[in-house]
Amino acid sequence: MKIISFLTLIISVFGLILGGLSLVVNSLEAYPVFILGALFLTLTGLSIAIRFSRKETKPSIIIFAVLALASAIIIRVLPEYLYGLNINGVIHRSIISAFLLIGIGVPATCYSLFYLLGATPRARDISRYPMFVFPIILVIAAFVLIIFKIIVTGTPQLNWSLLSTPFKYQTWETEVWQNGWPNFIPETIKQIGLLNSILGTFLLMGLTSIISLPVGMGIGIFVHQYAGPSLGGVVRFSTTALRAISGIILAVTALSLIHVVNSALHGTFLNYIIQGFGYYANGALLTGRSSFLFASLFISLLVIPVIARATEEGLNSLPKDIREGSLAVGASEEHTLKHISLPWCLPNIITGLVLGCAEAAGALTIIFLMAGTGQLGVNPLSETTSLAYFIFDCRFGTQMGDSVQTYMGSYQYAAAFLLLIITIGLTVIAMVLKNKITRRYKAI
Amino acid sequence: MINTMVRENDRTTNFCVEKIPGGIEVKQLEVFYGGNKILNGINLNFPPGKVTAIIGPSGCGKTTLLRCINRLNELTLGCKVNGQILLDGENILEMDPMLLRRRVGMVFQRPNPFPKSIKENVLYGIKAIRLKCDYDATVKSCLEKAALWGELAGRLNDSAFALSIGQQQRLCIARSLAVSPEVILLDEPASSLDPVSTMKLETSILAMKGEYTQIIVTHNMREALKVSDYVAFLYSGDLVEFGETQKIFSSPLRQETRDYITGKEY
Repeated sequence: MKIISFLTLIISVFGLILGGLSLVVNSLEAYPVFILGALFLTLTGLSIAIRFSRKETKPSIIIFAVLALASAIIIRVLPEYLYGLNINGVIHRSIISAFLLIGIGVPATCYSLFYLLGATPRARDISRYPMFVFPIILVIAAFVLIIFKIIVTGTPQLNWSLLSTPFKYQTWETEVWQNGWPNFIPETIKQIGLLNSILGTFLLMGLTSIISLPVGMGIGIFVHQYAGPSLGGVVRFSTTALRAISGIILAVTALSLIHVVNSALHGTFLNYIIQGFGYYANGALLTGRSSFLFASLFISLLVIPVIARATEEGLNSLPKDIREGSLAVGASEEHTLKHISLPWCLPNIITGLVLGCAEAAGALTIIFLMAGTGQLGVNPLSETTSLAYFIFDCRFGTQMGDSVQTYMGSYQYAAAFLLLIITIGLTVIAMVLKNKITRRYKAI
Repeated sequence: MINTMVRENDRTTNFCVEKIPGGIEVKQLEVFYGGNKILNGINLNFPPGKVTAIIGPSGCGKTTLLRCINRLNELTLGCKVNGQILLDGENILEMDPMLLRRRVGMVFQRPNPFPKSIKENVLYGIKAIRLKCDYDATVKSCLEKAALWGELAGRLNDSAFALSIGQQQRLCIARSLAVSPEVILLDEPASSLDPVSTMKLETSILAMKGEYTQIIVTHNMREALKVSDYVAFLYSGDLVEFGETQKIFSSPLRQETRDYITGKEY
């Protein structure tokens, strides 16, 4: 029985590896049929061995053996591309075989491990590992691949001048009088760099935190402390519903708001605030598409619910006794909130804030309709830009006569790498801060 | 601040006529939670400067009565109070709860130190009302009254969570003493303590006798007998019997009291 279960184990592990590979490669089609056939044989052998040595029947193993045989036949019969159901040949049969291999391979691994280890209760625990380990390996493998690709492609492009130069591509015409006639000479400024995108990302994160932190904390405190069950429920539901709104809907709303303001209040200060503005190299005033302030207002709509929820959960986790103890020595509600409750839920708020900052750094759906190259400067009232938008612009951007694509297209992985560094750095800082605060205030 | 000064004046005038402050009179107190009546018309006098124990089976309203005295019951949704509670003749239901709670301190069933250092815990009440005083001296005197100074003198800046449960509970007593209350409410203070800590706690309760009016809710008859001067026996929201401890324990007037003290089934 040991031999046959060992054989099953080896074959099913091969099947799992093959299944994982089939998800990404099309050319492994010769093998699934053999492996599934072999699994059918070994699983049948295993059930026979169990019948003889342990005097028990395992219908589930027989079922999986039959399933293995059935899937081998299915894969053999399937055409290379699937048709029908309006999927016109998009799905290759290797995808089907990958799913079948994983579906049969995981239970086969579990059973064979169980019998290989002697069918003890301890073996039962160990034999369940493959069920959890395999999906985790798949996810981690995908994650590592992506990060590896970004690092390998991105790092060689990075250098100091790329980081310290703001991107600029401006063309204009200078009027020169020659022989009593005006002559328009085209002039151009080109600068290759990422500085404005990097600063823009930080500015977007900062503005979003400044807007959403007080509002979110206020909502959390209100719901926990002052609102009754019904009003609290309404507020909680509406903030959660706000979170569920898709970014593109917010983007369209923001865009139409910009258009309304631009047409009705054109040239007013409000228009400049909402659209953002800056100056050309020749001194001409140019309105942008939307300002950092306006964009971060809309990103805040997605971040406020996160912070509100985090605050409320932190406040809920404060033991009731401690709050009452503070009130019992004559402290006011506000003093209790400031000195007991808020320090207690600070770690939760920090987690919420980091999630919010990551949201702001990666917020493309909201800003891609209204962001620009950011070449007019980086301040709350100038045109929005961020690394995420830059990466998008390198690939799909068409503004400014494809200038970004033309001049900066090859730097998108450098930008992706920087974005990765920023978000991961933020998470690490938040974790360290959280540990410190937890140790200081709770000290358990 | 003005209120505090007024209170100080009151206190001195009270001393002039040789009356200890902190007497509590409960008149026709009825408490409802939602639709349930928890206390049905309690009339009770807590003598100033003495320890009064409230005993009774679980759910008879002992803790509710206690929490009414510093109005912590108002934090619970749907709580309604009828009747009067007089602290030195003033109706507490018409006082500012924050001022009231400075005069009526409370120690809870489970120790609930704040997530701060020992020193900050003691000074919390003082800092909350922005009272100017000698902080170190206050910490020392409060910890001495709670019989903690000897154990903690060298580690005032440690976290309060690092203390043992018994020390935490006495720290809570010290904390409530810092704002110089007249009344201290103790809600089963020894229920989560080991015998040695319980003994130390009882020592500090006895040491505070005379200076503060103390009201202690307890399930432990031995403790009630040891620390209290008066005993009130509550049964399902009614005051069954009130009297001097020795009298209640030796010759109770009512059958229910006798049964409860001797531990019989009802």
